Amino acid sequence: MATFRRWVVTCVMATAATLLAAAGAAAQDAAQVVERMASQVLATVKTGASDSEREQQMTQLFRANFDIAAIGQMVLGRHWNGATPDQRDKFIAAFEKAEIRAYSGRFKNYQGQTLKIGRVSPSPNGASEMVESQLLQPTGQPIRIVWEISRGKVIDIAVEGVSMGMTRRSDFSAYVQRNGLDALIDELQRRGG
Amino acid sequence: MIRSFLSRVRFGLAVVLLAATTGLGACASQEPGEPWDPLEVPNRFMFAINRTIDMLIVRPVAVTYKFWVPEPIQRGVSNVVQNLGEPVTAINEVAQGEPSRAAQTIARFLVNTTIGILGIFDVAKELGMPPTKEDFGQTIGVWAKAPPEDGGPYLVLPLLGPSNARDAVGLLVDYVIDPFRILTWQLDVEYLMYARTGVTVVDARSRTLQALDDIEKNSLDYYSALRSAYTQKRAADIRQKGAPQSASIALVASGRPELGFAR
Repeated sequence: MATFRRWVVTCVMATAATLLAAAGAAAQDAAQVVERMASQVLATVKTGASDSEREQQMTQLFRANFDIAAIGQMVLGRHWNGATPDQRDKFIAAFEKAEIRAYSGRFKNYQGQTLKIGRVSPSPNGASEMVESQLLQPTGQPIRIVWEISRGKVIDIAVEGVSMGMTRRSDFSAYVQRNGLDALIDELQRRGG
Repeated sequence: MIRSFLSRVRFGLAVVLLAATTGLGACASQEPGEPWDPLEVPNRFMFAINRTIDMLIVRPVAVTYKFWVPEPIQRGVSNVVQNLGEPVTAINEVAQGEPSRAAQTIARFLVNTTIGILGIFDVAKELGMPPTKEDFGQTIGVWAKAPPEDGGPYLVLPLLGPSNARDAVGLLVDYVIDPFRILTWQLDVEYLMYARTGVTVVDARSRTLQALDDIEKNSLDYYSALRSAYTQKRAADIRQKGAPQSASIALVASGRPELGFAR
């Protein structure tokens, strides 16, 4: 009996240890993803490359670190379900280009900001990790940024509590309701091109 | 007092709700998780008017201010505006059941008004008392049973911009209870109140330039993007009560030069 109890305890402890280790590893990985990306972005913006060079580097960075398919699907919301495979492919491609263009524009005026990584916690549904961070600015208040990481890639960014994915979804949803999905894809292509 | 006020607020909301659902229920085809906007048509109309005024007057003034006024002066102005807002924050912190934070806010106000020379210098922050900012919209949000994303119907107010039933009531209450306003009325120096309002607008707009420009530039439907961002930001502020807040929904990367003009 005593041996059985000890065996149960050992099993429970071993399982708990494995789970904890897995969770810890996931948290560490998620933080590393953000940290690595931040240093890559920093390296890119610091070189003072031309616009097209920077955009090329940003494209690589974006593809390596963002799960654009997951983001695109989330952002299109219920319109994703009604889209044909061809529309989906076109949308993802156009969305990716438009986002890359937007991000390269944002990093144009680098002013010595640094990213300080904070706490990592699992998301409410447990499917991803939330990495808290602060963008420290040379002047003014730090900006609070939370990165949502799933399977080693960014699936959302919340700046001061505002999720880019949700904002984009509202935006696209309103546009599709008024103009249709094909118009959205055209407009994104125009902007990313 | 507060409870009875809240029940009145709830009654007001119910009236608005009833009007909205009976009058405009037909066009409710929002995606789940989207802000509730039964008055979208009049809201978009007001949004267009506000945007025109912003484009013609407010934004140019804010841009000029941001790029021509020396940084230390801007910081001083910002501190003064913040200091004048401290009493309202303190009242709301009490109303939210945070007496110790209210005490710190009052301490900040006293220190900055005296040693900080009428609030020009945020001495209290250096003494380990970081600023907080609470308004009555947040206070309602803290006590309301509804999730903070749900502030009643979304509203675009004349001149004031994005809001909702909860935050509009909050604005009104903050205005009524503001000790600075009461004092200026009592002393017959109302022009001080107008001056403060003007400075507050320029200060606030100059610090939201880059965030709003970014949303405008990178959205296809600016109205909807801003509606979502506003709703999320307010919800985050209500959840995160007590955390020092930055002035605006600033976006990744800044860069002072050009950015105001980049469209």
